[in-house]
Amino acid sequence: MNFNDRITEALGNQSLRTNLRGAMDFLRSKRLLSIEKPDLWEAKRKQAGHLRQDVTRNLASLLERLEDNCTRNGMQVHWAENADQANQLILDICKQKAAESMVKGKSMASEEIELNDYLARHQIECIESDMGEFIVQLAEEKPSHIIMPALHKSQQDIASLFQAKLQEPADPDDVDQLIDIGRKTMREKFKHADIGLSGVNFAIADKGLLCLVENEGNGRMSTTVPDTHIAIMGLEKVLPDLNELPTLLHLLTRSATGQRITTYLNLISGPRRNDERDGPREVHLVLLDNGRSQMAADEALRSSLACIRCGACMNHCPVYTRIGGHAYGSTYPGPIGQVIAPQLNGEEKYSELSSACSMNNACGDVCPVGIDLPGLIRTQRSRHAQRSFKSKLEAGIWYLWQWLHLHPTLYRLARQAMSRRLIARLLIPGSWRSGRGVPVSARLSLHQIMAKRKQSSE
Amino acid sequence: MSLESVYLFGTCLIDAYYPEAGLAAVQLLEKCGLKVVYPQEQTCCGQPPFNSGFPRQSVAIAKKTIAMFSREELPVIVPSASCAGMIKRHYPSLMHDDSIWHQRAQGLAERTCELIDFLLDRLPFDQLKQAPRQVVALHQSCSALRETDSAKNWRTLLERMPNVEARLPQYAEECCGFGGTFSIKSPQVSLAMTADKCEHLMNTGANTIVSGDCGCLLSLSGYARQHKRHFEAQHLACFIAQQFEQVNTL
Amino acid sequence: MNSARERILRRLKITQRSLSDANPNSHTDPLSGSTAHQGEHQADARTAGPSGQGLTQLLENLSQNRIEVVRGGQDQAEQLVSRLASQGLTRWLLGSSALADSFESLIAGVPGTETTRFIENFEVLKNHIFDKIDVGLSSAHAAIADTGTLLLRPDATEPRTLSLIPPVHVIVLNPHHIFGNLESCLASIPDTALRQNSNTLFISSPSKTADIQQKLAYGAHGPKRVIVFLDES
Repeated sequence: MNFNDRITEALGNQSLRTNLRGAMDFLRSKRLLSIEKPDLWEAKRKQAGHLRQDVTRNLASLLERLEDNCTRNGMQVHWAENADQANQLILDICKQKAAESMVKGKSMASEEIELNDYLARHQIECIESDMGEFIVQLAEEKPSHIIMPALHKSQQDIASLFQAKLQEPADPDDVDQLIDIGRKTMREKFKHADIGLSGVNFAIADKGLLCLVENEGNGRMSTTVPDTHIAIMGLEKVLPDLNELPTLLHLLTRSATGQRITTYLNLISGPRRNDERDGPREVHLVLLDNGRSQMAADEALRSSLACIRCGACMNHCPVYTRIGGHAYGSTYPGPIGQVIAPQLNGEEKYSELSSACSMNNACGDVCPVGIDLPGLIRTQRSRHAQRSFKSKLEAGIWYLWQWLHLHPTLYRLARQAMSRRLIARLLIPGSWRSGRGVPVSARLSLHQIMAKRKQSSE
Repeated sequence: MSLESVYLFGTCLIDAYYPEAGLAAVQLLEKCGLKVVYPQEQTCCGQPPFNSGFPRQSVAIAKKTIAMFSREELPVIVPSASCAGMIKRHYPSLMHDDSIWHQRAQGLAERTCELIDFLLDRLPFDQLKQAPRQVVALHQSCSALRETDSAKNWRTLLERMPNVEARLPQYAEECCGFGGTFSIKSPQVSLAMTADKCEHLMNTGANTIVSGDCGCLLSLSGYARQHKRHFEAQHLACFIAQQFEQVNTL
Repeated sequence: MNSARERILRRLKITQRSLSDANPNSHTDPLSGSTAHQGEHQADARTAGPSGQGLTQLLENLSQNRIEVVRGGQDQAEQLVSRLASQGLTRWLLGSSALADSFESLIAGVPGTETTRFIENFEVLKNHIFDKIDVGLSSAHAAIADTGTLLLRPDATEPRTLSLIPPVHVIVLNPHHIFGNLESCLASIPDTALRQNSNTLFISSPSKTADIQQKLAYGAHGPKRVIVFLDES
């Protein structure tokens, strides 16, 4: 199925549409309520924007510093240029530990490299522990949102899923009961898993700290209970200094879920210390490039590396609200996905995503680090235009269009032609006509009216 | 006494599809005691190829527009937040690698003003005519909300008309689905958005929809006609001009 | 040796160098820290006192965050233990701190209770902690009034899982250790402390999730209840 087919399918799915609208309403209103002082919000946005843009320009020194300090704190730092390398080195760690199972806290980077499938092929069971991810994995789907992976599903859907896959009868009206099923199932997994894998929200270069924010506690379970912890992060998630963390958290949690703070803010400095009684004995940090260093070098797209993965852009995107995350077919859906998916997941397949944007700027307006998402989508459109033959044709049409609009006489003739229904019918694209009919231009144009007016006044 | 002059950039959509809105804009500007200069060689601002990912095909048009409206240092009034936004926000960046044109674009951007933004504190509200109460639904375009920041002035202006009640639909800040070539290239999503917007606008109970962007109006009224929804879609300029004692039409 | 590392860094260095060459003035030393810490909100950050505004605000936010609060001394602590016991929460997990010692004798005074001391390695106790513990006890180093948050610095005497695996988590807090906001609280933690222990933790509510149709539910994976014992003795 191509992008358009997936869009058609999503738009035709009424329950999906309802679930999405409900979720978007919820997330948007919670975010709005959590921003107590708009002036302070704007000031923090600006500050965080500068800071994150600085990071994108100085990744080399920051990552070296991070590696240095993490190593000093007892972590083992690995670098992966792409998905294959990342998967391979995670598998190597698993083999070293003779691991049979892994529990995972939420990690979009691991989705990006499709780690679950890879490890499954090597007989290592990977279990998602975030409730949303757990549900999505049980349904053999992928997350449809980066913060709320299962928001496309209703309570009823989830109750039937638990019944079918876990043989756990549940009252679909009782969310507590549903959550309890997830809790019990996962606790058994946490107890026995050999490896815990997590993402990283921010890594603090000057202290060698990994910062994880979450509400459920599955992130803490994954990073505390198993004997080995592997953290994987996109290399842009580094921050210079711990002092910057509060500002970014302020923006992140409000933008993502409208929370003033999450249940847990977890700072990890390394493996279990000599005198400590618990915690993993090994902590590995995988720094994932996967196209990011190229993006950093790319003047036009670099600013997208400032992203802190809050999901606000998709929550406010009218297109995402209609079609949901799966339709995009990329790891990251919505506006940020339209910008970075071609770099992370392949230009061939994903540069067409940029067409599904009405340039309404709702995303740019809410982005907590001020990324000009519509501008970047426009950039992706022009990149896409340089690739496909269809786009070359379109480029030609636009040259023609420009030529017409540069010459007042031609322009006038064309405008007059469009006032004939027959001609308008021919020239207006079918995709417009079928939904909105044929617009016929007025008999007298504004140019003509103004010319007459001028005449009569002279 | 020589009148203060302003340029009117009518925009291509108004020129072709909503000339009455352009005329209403002229009348309103004249009501404020201004002389309107309308360069006949004006066409489009160049936004369609720009937003479609073909910026190169909009540069020449942008330059032509800049030159045309720089013969005199007059304010340029645009009865469209979207086209005003193009000039104010995107012309300078479009010219980023040419310092002279960049400067000229910057100059034009500073002089350019969306129509309602310009009228709000200039209209003679004491000349409003006595009229029965009217209810309209206001569609705030995305450009007015997030590019030129005109939406609040649209609301304020309607509030200043004692007989007018302007209602905002549910999801008032969400896009109507037009989006220029988006409506042609992603027609399904675009139509789904337009359908929702129509429904929300109609749920306000108003029979007239007003907005300051003709792209949205063209899309909404086209959809309504095609799907047998009955409402009138009017440009804000027309609606406001009707509230004043009139005035010759030509 | 590590070629992926070299290649990634080489690419990033080329970018970094070309950017700082192109615009040497705009280059900010990424390691010098930003202005994040000098904002206006910083001024009021340290002003929260032990018993004034800070405490009131803290209590308000804790209750908003669904954290239960018990205040008082020895008697109130004992009542808390009895109350929990009457709810069937009798099996306590304690660390090896002085606080744990004092609670152990207190708990022993309540009939039907039992305590486990976390004095062996986690591997040894793992099944027991997962299956046979109702309440974990730990201390908070400080609290944050602004958000209703507790700072925990797990160490040898108070392991990390104390606050994670038991379904009920009791946190003892000294009411003199209240900070205004996260900024000031973070700044108060010495560098060495951040590195010395493997984990520093801020807790702001019982474990929760809204992953099922945006309906908030408590007790997702961690504690279902968090009780702060404000030690006023």
